[in-house]
Amino acid sequence: MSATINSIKPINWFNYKGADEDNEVEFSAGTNVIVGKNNGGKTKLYNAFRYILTDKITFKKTGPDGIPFFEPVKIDDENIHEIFNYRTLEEMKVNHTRPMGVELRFTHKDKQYVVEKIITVLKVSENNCKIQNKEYKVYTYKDGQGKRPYKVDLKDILEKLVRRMYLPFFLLEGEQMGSMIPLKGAGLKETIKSLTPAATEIDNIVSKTDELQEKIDKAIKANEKKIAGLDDKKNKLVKEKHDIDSQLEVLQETMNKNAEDYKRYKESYDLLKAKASEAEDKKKLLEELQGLIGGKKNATIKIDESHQNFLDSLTDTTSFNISKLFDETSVNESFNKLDERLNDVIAKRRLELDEKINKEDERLIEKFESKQPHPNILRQMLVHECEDGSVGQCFVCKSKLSPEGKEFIEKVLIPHFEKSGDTRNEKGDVQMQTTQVLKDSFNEILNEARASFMAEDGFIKQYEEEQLECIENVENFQSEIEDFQKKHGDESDIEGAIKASDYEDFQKYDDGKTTAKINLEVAKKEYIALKKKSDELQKKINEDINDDTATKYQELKGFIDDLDSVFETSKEKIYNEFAQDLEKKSNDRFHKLFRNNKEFANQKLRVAVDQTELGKRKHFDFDAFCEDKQGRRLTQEGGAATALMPLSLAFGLIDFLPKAQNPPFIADAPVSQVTVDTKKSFFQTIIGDQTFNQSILICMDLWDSEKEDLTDDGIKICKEVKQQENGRFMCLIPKPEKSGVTFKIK
Amino acid sequence: MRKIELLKNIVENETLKEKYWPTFKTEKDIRDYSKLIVMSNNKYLMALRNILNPQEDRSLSSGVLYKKILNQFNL
Repeated sequence: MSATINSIKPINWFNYKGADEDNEVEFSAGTNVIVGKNNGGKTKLYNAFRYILTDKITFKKTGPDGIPFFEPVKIDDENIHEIFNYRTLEEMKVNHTRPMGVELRFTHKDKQYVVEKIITVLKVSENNCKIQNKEYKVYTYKDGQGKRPYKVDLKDILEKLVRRMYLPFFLLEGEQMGSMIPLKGAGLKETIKSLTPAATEIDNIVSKTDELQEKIDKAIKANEKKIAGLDDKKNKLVKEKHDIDSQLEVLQETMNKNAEDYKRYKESYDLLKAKASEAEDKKKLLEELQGLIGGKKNATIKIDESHQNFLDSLTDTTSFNISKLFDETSVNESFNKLDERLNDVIAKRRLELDEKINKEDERLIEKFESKQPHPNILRQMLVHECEDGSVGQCFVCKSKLSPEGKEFIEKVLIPHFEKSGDTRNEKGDVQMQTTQVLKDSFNEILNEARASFMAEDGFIKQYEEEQLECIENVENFQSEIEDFQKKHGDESDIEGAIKASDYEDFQKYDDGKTTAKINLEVAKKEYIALKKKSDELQKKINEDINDDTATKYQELKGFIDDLDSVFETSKEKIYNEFAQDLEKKSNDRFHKLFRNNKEFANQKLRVAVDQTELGKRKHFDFDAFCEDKQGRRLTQEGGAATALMPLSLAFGLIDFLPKAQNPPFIADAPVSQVTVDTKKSFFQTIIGDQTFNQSILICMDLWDSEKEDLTDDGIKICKEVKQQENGRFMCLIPKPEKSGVTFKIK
Repeated sequence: MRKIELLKNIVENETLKEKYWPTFKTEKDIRDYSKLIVMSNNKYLMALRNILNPQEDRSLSSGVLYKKILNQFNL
């Protein structure tokens, strides 16, 4: 909702007299044109608006080159005497004060406000004064009720009237149009910036990102410093770890050596132990084999013993048994032995007898000889027929002769006795007697043995069985020995194997193995402890130093840089698009303003964007100028085009705003330097243009100073204004000697 | 309003998207990405959101903004 200025009242303001004077100028809601003679108070009135709205006034000054220029200045003790009404100053007494300033009334949203900006001026001498106090007051105003104080910040209440950002092109100084600060250079830049809030937003954001970058850079440096500090710490830790790792390497070598020793000792030990075990087994085998051989030997001895016992039993008269004669060979041998013994006995006895023989002995010998069986009798026994018809009978015991007995008698006894008989004959009677005694004994024995033989032949069988058993034992032993030897080798083989085992010193390897194992365990323990320490150091190194803080900061910095780049590009785009748009709108205005002057049809208003890269930031500057149809920049100061260019630009800027937001358009001498045709087109534009809600145009060009009245063009424009609804045309008539002004409505 | 538009422009910027939020889905119809950014949990988008602070008229103070961003980058 736009605001409308109701009135303005300068107080002791230049040639405007004091508060009690009728200085209040009322404005209509539409077009207001104020005309007046030169130096009559028009610009002073404009400065009243400027003072209220910007706290500054424009002072016309002369430069060192003598060229006048306008400068916006604040009111201070230096310039107060130029602004304060000198008639009032004259009337004042020294050390007295008077108010000086401006009172503005405006309507916003159907509410009226009064803004008073008053300076209390103290007269310090006859011709001099100074500012005693500056103040502002705000009131609400109702017709019939008057003013009521309204507590509000001045800036806020003035924002209701005209937003600060719009001031550059809603408060125009026509005489300075060509060099209007808000429409050129930095001023234009500020103006455009105020109309490109997105770019301004980006600027704000970029200022944030700049701060962020600064903080990030600081953090990166701090982190680098920290890392540098940590590097020392790291170097110490790494060195410590390196020392430990070196120790670990040595330990590892020791462990490897110990492990190898242990392995070597263990292998040797195991091998020798196995050999020892094998040797033990072999020893057992040897013992077993020797046992078998011994068993065989014993069994063989037993055969001989059995046989000898058998033979002995044959020669033992007490146990002699005829049944033993079953074994003929043995019997023969026995008899041979017997013969030998007998002969020995006989010889011995003969010697004894030869030495000690006496008659009685000789008689006994004779007796013995006479009792020997005669071979013929033995032959008779062989052929003697028994009662049962069988042949062969013993004449002594009357028993039958067995075939074996017969054979014995025939082949052994008969030849023996025949031989004995011959010997006996040669040796004499004693021998004969002894032989006979022996023969008799033998016969007795034979008979007895025959009887026993007949009674039991089990004795021989027992002998046989005993012999068979012994032989079987021997054979068994032999068989076992053969099997054993087949399996394990013979005695010499086993003994050789035992000897070849060379296992005796395996215990030595067991000791070496144990020592190596202990050494290995000790080294292992030490290794584990050191490894743990090394790992802890590595962990500490990783934790303290190898964090990714620096990387993260770089990531963040990179992202902010990229964002910045996008922001800059966006801003550039916004400014370029806005400049193009502004150029188009301003050109439309430019050509409308010159629509009555074909000379400017081929001229063009340009809005250029110049960008300068300062560091990472792009700085944008704007320049508005006129070009001819060849594209050459028009540099002629004071020309019509250069005079209307800022106005076109201002209108172009205003065209960016929605009409509802437009504040009052206040311009001082906006078309003073252009032709009448252009002035007409200007007023036609202002009057007929719906862009402006309220305009206050202060003009010097429509007044004829000589006539003290409007010019012909002024009259025409006055008519056009008056025809318009809410149009007001006023003439400003100064009173003599700067004692005040009068506004006369035409 | 302008911040929301600016956020949209940056989120949909192909270069930034490809580099920093390749998996984040953008659509021309989406006007305000603020909530989607929170849901994405992408540290770059979150940092961008904090820098623009589109839901608030006033920007975060640089100190608060810096701390928030550092948190998002686990710094």
